[in-house]
Amino acid sequence: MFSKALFKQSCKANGWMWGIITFAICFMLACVMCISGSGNVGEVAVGVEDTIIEDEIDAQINKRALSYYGNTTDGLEQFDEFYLVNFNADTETVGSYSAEVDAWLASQPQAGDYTTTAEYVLALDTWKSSFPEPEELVEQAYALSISTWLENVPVVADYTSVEEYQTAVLSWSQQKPTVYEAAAASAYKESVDQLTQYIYVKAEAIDPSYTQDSNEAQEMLGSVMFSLNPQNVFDSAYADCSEAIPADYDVQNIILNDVQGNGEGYISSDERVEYRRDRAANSSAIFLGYNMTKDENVNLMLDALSSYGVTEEKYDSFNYTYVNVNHMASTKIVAYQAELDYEISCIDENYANGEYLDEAAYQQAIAEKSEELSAELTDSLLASLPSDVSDALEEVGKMDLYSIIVGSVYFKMAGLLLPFIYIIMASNNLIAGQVDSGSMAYVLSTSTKRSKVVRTQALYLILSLVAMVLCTTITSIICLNVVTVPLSDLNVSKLILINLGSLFVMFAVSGINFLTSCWFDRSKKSMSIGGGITMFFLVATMLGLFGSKVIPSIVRFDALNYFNYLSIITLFDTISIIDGTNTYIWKFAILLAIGICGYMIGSLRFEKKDLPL
Amino acid sequence: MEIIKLDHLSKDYGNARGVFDENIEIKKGEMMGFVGTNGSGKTTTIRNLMGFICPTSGKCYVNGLETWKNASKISKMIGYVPGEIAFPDLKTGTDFLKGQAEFLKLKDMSYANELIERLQLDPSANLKRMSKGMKQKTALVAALMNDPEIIILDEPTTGLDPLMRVEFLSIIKEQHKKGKTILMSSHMFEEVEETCDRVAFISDGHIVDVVDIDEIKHRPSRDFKIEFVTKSDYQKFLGQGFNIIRKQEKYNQVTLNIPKLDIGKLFKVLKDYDVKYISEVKYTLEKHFKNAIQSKVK
Repeated sequence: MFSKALFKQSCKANGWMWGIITFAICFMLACVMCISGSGNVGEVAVGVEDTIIEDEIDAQINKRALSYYGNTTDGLEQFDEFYLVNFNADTETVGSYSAEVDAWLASQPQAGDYTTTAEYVLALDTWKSSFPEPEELVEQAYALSISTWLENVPVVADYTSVEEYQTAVLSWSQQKPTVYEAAAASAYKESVDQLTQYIYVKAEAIDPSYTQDSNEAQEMLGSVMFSLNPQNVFDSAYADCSEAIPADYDVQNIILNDVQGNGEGYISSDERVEYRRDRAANSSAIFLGYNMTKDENVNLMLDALSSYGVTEEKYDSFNYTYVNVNHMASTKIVAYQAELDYEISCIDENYANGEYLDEAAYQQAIAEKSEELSAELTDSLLASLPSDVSDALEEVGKMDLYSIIVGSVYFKMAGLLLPFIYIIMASNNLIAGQVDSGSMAYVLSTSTKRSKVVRTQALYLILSLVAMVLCTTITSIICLNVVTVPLSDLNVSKLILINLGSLFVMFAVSGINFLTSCWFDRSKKSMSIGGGITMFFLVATMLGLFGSKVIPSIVRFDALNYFNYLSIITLFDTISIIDGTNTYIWKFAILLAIGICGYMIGSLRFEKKDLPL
Repeated sequence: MEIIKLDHLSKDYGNARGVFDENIEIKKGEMMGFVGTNGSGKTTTIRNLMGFICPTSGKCYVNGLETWKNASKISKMIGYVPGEIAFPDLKTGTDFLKGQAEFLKLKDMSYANELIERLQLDPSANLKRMSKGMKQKTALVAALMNDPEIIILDEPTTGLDPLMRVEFLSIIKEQHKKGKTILMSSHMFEEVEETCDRVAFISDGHIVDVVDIDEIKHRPSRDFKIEFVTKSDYQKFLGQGFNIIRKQEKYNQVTLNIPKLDIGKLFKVLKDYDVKYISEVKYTLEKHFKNAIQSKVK
């Protein structure tokens, strides 16, 4: 059946190569398993995840900054408009009221008209109680300031001389509250209320669930109010951030311009728009930084991120401090505004050239542009890729990198290269090389049948591969016991199956190479065809890996997956083995069949062909 | 009885390459030479004999067995020295010879050792670094070690130095004396003329002629070339009635063919002539085959 002498000869001829290659692959395997198992592997996945998370948070911050900014500029503009209207209305209201008050003041009883002090006091009381009743808010404000003013009337007894007293009375009378002051104060108050309502309506328009009490509506309101800072309510917040407390929101200029009859023009003037933008940019960045670093918000964020393995420590390492967030936000806002200005100037130019049909189309173009810009500036890595954020993150987080490196990268690719080289060289040496050189003549001239020769050589090749895989199996089991890899599905039985799989691949490939070796008389041909096919399979597998399922979907090249259909190594289904499914079994059967066919056809051909010996 | 027989053997490789309609019979104990130029088909014929290739038509037999179908059986009887010496991928000559012995299931190495000694071969040398001669010797030992009945040698002396060649041929002759049947191919006529009993001449895949060496060596007539000193002698000699085959008047030379028995008569005649020189023109195998090809062409 087999020729012992030939088997020995083949062992002697190929033994060295076998030994060196077996040692090399065992050594490589040990290195791969021990080094990648020593803890670095998990961190790779975490690193990828962190990058994505950080990018995502950055994008959120930028988005927030722009939306605060947009909301605030809009809010301030509304406020200006409200204020102007309120101020005018209040001035009118308070104007007629002040006339009543003036009349009332004029009707103050004089001491000289009464004979007795008692009469005078009585008249005075009556007069005081006849103070015109204030109805409107602005009237109340005016009445309050008038009464305060009246209480501060100088008393003769306080002054040493008549002149002094007269001077005091004069200055006192000059301090008489004007209607404008009252109107200004009340208009401010009313406008704040209106603005609050406006924001609530706006919030609900964005999303019906953003009701008055919702966090979203409160946040929107907050961002505007933070900028407006009515009655200095946010001074402490500004101080907390060690930022300068901004000057009170400027209504003075509105009043001044309004009195001059240019209120409308002023609030839409470039100067005023610039003022509002600066204020909004400043306050939005501060507000965002303040919010992002508030303990309760940080805790909320940590809660949300904890499912992706982000600990407080790690979050700290991302370094979202107040200064950083503030800087990031203000940079983004400046960039946004600058780009928007530029785009709008372009649109304006086009508008001037009559490119837009009407005002509406022009406004729409501006709105579209600003939306597009803000989307562009707030793009995150994940948002710009098609798959779902959480899905992708989850996938990366759950990736069993150790199994991928050992199974798909080592056993399916790197670890196959050297055995393939052995297979190509050995199968060529066993038949074609000996026919080509002529040394086969010595074997055949010793009454050894061709069938016996080919069987013996096939047996040698197969047994040498089995021995090789036996060595890698032992090595890999030892290595798996030496290293402890957390979060890996790899165990001894799966490892044995993977080794067995690599044996099946080698068997199939050796069958193909044995066939070409038997088929061709020239080792050149046998090697280039058999070896070429073999190397093609390996290269296709390498390329295919980048399109295979083991690569997370966000960095996978789906087109490269087609290479997997071109390689028989794909039938070595490491994923199925590691996942514990059964699909690998029929694939093994195909590999086995390919190998058997190769050996059978090769043997038949060798027995029948002419040998140039 | 013939031990090797080629029966209308043809192996056509296309483009008029190969061997065509070969018929040779080699008797037991005979030493057959096989001569032809490079590429004339010697090796193809031998491959057929060894059963390495399947004939296109015709058959060849060794010991009555058809060689293609019984390659493994006939190879037991044949010691084969291939033309191109390429050894298996082994370290030393000893390794190789031991391996061959194992293939042949040969237990007793005494004969092999004897051969090694005769050939002054150092088999422990590295196979790859062996000189051509050493390789040839090693191959010969491998072929002879199981004392086969038939020995087939494909151009065994090519590339050997003259001394080594003599040594080599003497061993082959010795085997012949022991009663072995030998087929030796060569492209050198002298070599086969010296050693073989019979010689087949192959040209372009066709066997042109098969000659008994005895016929060449013991031809009934001889050729002589004679040069005379004077023109008158030359003229006179032409009239003596000998079988003149070539005349060269310019040099006063004649070449004549004369039966062995008449040589005495020639010398008697020449006694009266002033002969400048006389020499026998040897009839060689080469000449014979040249004539044979010429007559075939005609």
